[in-house]
Amino acid sequence: MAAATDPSTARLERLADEELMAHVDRKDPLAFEVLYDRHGGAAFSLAYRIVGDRNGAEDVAQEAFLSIWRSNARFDRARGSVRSWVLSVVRNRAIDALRRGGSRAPKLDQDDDAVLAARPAEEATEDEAIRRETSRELRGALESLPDDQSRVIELAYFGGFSHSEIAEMLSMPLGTVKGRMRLGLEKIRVQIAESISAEGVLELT
Amino acid sequence: MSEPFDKGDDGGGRDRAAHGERWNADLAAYALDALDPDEKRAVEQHLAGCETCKERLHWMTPAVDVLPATVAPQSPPPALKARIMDVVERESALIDAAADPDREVRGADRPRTRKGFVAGLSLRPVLAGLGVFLLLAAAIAGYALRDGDGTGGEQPAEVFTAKAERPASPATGRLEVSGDTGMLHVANLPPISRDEVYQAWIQDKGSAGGSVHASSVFVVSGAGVGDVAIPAGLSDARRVMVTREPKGGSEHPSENSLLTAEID
Repeated sequence: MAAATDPSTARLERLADEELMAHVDRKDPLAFEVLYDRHGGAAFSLAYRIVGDRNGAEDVAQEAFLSIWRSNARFDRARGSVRSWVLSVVRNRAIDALRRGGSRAPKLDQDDDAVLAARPAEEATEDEAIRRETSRELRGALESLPDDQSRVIELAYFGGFSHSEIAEMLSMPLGTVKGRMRLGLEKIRVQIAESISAEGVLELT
Repeated sequence: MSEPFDKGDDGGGRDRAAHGERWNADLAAYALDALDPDEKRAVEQHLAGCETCKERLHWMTPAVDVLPATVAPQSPPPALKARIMDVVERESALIDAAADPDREVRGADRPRTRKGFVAGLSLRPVLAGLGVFLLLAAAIAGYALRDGDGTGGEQPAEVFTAKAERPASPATGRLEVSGDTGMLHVANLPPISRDEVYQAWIQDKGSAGGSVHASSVFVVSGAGVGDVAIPAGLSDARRVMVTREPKGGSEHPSENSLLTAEID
């Protein structure tokens, strides 16, 4: 975490993501550090989920954040939140890494709960407990989909496979794959809407 | 929020349903980045003129955005942040120095700088002249040329393969040239020490083999992967080369090229 005693950092930490990005645009390293502190954990987690090992995930996260730093932060608020944008950069880099490595075997059977249970006890802070619970709930939403829908979504998003590759892999027509993607995303979207109306806000940290 | 293309069949509903039937599945695959390139282009062309499908995509996008939150949280190692911020601090110092070449950048002179990352870093000994200063600043600014994350921008006009010059070296690269500028993507370059950087060089098409000009410096990830903008000089270039140089870069190559992209 950035030094809490630094007044510049403290001021930056109070900014919303979109306001923070204006400072990152101006190449302010402290603002960039705050950006990393906010989203580095999610970025590393996503990279690890896609590439499957910590060293590879570190490389992906490093490439992604340096790309963001160097690219004059082509963040477009019309396309969504800063967090979604950061994670889309991470996802693209992770899929590139999978392709470079030639190992695109989908890790669909990863036991995330076992991964969590195997982690050192000191990592289990309160914030992290909340994140874990949120993650479990969202994972539950994904897992509540029929297998045929969650499978095509996971192969596409976490495996980086195109719908035609998935169709070949699963020996099913292209239209069926796209139809399952559509149905699955629609169900997730409806669950998000229901979560928001039930709890007022959906926490994605 | 109501779902666009709901099944309502009031006036024009049949047309809407047919439109949805045609595009909804493609939009889902598009949102998941799962379309093949031709289909992706077709969807983007359609989106440019169809507000209904834009609205539909906007409605569906949160279902994709939520997917990263379904993964088990992992704590990144502290060393990862240190490595990232080390590069960020160095590049920030170079940008500042390019804006004010007389400024000697030291940690104590930069209260906004994180302690320890660039403490004691003096640019005067490591940068070989104002030309390199400006080149570095242009190079760093030139990262804006890059469009590696699929978020828009011009496509490179031409792509050239960069090949390793050393036997058994696994280094590879790709040079994207657009007019006088370009982006070099490298992979599998060997690790370098903290006192070294990689540097790109441009050999022009002049007689007698063409002269060699210094271009951007860059670092790579632990896997030897990196991107570097070439901000100028490619319109008359014969080849682009990469060498390992002392921190801050050099005016002349210190070794034979490790990786070369021939431009023909």
